[in-house]
Amino acid sequence: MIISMPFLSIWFRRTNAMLITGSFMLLLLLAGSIIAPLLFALDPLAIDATRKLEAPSATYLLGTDEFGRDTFARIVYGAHVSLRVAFAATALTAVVGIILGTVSGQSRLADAIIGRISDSLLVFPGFVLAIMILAAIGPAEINVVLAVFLLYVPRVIRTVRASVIEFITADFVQAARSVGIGNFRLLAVHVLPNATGPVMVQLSFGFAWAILVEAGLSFLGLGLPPPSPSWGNMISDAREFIRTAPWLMFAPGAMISLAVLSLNLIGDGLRDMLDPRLQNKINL
Amino acid sequence: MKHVAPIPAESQTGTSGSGTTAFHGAAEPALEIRGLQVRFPSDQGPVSVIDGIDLSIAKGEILGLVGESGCGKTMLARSILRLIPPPGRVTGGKIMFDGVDLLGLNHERMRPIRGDKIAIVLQEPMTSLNPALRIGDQITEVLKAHRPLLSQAERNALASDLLEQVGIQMASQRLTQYPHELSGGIRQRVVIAMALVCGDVRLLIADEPTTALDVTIQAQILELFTRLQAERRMAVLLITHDLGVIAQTAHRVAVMYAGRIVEIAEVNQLFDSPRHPYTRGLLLSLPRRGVGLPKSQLPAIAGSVPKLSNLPSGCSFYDRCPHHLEDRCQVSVPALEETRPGSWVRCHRWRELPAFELPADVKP
Repeated sequence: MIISMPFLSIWFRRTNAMLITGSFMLLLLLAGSIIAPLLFALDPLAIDATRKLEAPSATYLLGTDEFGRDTFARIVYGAHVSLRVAFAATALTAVVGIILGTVSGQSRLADAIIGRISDSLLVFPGFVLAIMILAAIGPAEINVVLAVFLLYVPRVIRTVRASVIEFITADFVQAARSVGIGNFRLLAVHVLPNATGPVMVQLSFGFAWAILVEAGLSFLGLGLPPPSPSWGNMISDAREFIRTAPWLMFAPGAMISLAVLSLNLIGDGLRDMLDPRLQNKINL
Repeated sequence: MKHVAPIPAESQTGTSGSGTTAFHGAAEPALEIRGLQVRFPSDQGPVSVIDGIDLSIAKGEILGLVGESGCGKTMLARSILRLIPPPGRVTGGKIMFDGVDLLGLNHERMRPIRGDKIAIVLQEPMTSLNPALRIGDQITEVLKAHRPLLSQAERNALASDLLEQVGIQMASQRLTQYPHELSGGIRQRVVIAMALVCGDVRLLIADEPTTALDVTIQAQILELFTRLQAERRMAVLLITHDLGVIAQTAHRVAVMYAGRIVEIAEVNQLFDSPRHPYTRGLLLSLPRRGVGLPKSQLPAIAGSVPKLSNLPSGCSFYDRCPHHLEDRCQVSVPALEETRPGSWVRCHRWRELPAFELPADVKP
């Protein structure tokens, strides 16, 4: 084991198995959550009082909950909620983060203002701040998106800012400036594309984190209000039945783990692929 | 060819061009720098990186600019294109090009000049190309900025034409390659192609274009510069610390030391009878074989370049000069004086110095 581990890890990096495995898992998750409702008649809200807390069977693949609702259907629709929230939050974070990061990389004044605001957001432990925000503005899907965005955008701003500062003085940017390329094009064509790597890595971790935060908030009753299914509130509801119907908790828990794992694998894989220093080490 | 010479700055610090009225030679200067001054703020107050430089480059002339690292060569080049990195600032002088003072232009009015009328080739071919763009896109980008009316096909044709002109084979295929697929020599050719693609470049600034290349490639690139310069009748400002490069290529040479020009002369004059002790030191420091020297001994100029924030009060070469006189050299900054038509030197003692004799085997 000791001998084989380094080889395994080298193989992992060379072929970038992390990126491939992670992407495959995420794709499966996405495809499953889109195709399943088309293949089966799934209703996450339908109550069947005669079939409460049933164990997994051919009819109910993942059993039923205390109201007799189909857990499989709720998992599938929960995936929609989780992915929708995470995607919206990540997209918002990307757009705002790239714009603000570029601005702070360019102007000292803007940097001072944006930097201090980011710092003040980063002062709080992320999840605690998310709870505070939702407690203040009320539980709703859009508010979860907003909270995740506010928590994660400072990291993206910093990443973009660092890249802009690094590349704005790069020789090739100076060279482009010296042949008469305008400021906007300089940023859009010469500076930002070179920041793609670190930003992509940051965003894929952000996506995973968004899924976790959404689940956590829903678990606390601050996310999506019931009866809408979400992985977080499913776990919350299942707590009472952990002894009698463990599948109720196991199913959403496994989904959260898989989704987060797949995104973390993607993030790590991207980082390995895009970080030249790591590549050199591997080639030795 | 007419030889252009700077006029000595009247004030010792060489501020503003107002004191320098008559300009010798240069019926048709492509570029005329007068009293240029560039400063960087520091903890000890502003530091003059360039302190009153007068220089003009005639049309069709290759002017070599030599000096040690940190003497202000690159800052001079960058100030022509108004690319001084902040917090550095041009604090005085004029740079006349085409009847306009470039220092008076804002960035929007400077942009059409960059890459179209005045172009620069940077030192490091490995880093002067964007790793994320195909080289074709980088060359046509210049055309997009300056010739917006051309179609993409015309731009591509011009780009591949230029690549052929700079001696790159299979030009149309090269256009689709990324910089990392090319060698250093080819990259430098691409950078040169980028600089010249607009076809109207009247002044090419080459900032140590061959320093990062190996010697054979270096020779090819210099040959390329000379050929392109002759074909296009461009003025070229060739910045280097390699006297060999200057000897091969330049028509006239300006020697810079600590932000000032200390000697300027036609290339043969400078190599045959250098006047300034610093220039002499540079020539003597060229590595050479034998002639009574033990192999291990490489002659060098004693001491090191003074800190710009802490220059000697008089001549900035004072500390390192074998001929310095306490009463004169330490007291005042020497003016740039004409020693013979076209040759200028900034030394109090140029009349008194012994004739310069270079060991026979060093002559370039």
